[in-house]
Amino acid sequence: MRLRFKNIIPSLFLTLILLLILEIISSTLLPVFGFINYRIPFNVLILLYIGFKLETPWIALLVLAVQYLHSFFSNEGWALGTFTGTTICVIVSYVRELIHFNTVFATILITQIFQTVWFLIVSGMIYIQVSNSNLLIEKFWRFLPESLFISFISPAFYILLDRIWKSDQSETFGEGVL
Amino acid sequence: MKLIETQEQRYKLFVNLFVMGLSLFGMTRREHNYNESSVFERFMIDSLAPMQRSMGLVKFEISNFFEFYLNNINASKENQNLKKSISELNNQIFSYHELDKENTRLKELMEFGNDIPSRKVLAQIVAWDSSSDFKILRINKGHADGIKLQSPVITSLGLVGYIYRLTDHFADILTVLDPNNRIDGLIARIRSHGIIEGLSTDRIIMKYVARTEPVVLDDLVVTSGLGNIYPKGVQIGTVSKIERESYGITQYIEVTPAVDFSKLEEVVILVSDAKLWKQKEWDALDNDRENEAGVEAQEVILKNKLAEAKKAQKAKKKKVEALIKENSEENKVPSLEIKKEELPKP
Repeated sequence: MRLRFKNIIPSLFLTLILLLILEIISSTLLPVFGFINYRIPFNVLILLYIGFKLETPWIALLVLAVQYLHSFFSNEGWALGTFTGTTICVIVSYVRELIHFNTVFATILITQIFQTVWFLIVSGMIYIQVSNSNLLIEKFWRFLPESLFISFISPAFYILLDRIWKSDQSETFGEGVL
Repeated sequence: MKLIETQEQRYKLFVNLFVMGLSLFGMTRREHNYNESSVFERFMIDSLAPMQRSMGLVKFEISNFFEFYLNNINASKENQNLKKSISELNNQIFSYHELDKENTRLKELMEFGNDIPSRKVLAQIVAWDSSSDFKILRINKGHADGIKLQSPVITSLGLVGYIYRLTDHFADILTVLDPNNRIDGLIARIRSHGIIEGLSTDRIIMKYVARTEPVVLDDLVVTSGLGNIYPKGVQIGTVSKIERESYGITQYIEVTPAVDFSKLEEVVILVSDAKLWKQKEWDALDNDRENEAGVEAQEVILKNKLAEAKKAQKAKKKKVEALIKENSEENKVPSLEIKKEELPKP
């Protein structure tokens, strides 16, 4: 969906409020109920949506805004996620002709594939910093359930984000690749 | 095929490259030891953390709902009333038990580390890191409560971590489970040093322990006191796994943390003024290289000042001595001579 800069601000604001609520839930309720090993990375889901559905030159700035809000809740900071998110958006922009969200299964599959790409990029960056392969193995075992959960909720979540961004839900990709 | 065909694509390429460059720069400039947050970040965290804290109440309400409403929905009115009264009593007993447990925990916490010369600040856990890769805890005490950056955080069981990010009313603890937290550890029995690094929620690793060191399972690992953050002798955990190959110079050691992070509710922050001096030492060391040229000039100035001060001191001393002499001459009391005959007879 092509967007003008003035249309971005209100939708971005609502998206950030949604992320805020989800981050609070993820960082407080899950540990309180005993899930201290797993978190649901809602920021990744929002960034994937931005990459898949929005067509604007300012996409990297949207990624930056989402990650900056995420950094208030995490030691991850804004930089790592922004770099990864922007890279994913660039990759998506070149393979957009191949991506279609026709069915729920396709949405789940595509989200899972790009989450794997996200995992590979982030793992590479973390490995450069800490050079500890055990850490990546641990991360992989956490990534599996977390990413599957995210993939399964992605169809419903994208519908919600479609409403926020006033995007056409029946819109399929393959046109107007930037 | 041209990569850039329109003005929009040119904008996009420029913005993408700019943001990616900025984020790479941000990653390289990132300080892993502590995070000095900006005014805006402090404001945001101070505004958002109370919402995180209120989630604890939501959990309480939800569990109350399930326990007391759903279980009784099909019971008769009389039963409901009876159960209500019973549940109220149970609630009271539960709260008394909770208070009792809390008291015991707090007592243990406050008694722990009496030998460590620091002020202790008690805090409650408000939230965890929203990413599972990092192990950060948010607590409900901050700069206003006297907490400082890099203050060690402990419980009665052992080491939790240190203060990594600080706002006025909240603080983030970088726990020992986080891979960015590196502690100089000591195996208590054989006094071997190693570097402790976080690995997962229930395991940490101890690196760089020589292969020849006779480490055994259940060996106690404590802080060595090196590194200017943690006091010496705080328990970190016990050795739970050892991999010693026939080659190499080090052995792979896994440590189970002494603190059960899944049940962590309260922590104690050790705040010491010594930190301030340590920070000054670090600052002095950092500035030393930059100010080498200025140091000599400062030395000359200081020497001059010292000489002037000495002169002034001598002059003052002379004046004081003269005054004392004058006073002693003016106030001379004639000596009393008492004859033996004048003394009263016993």
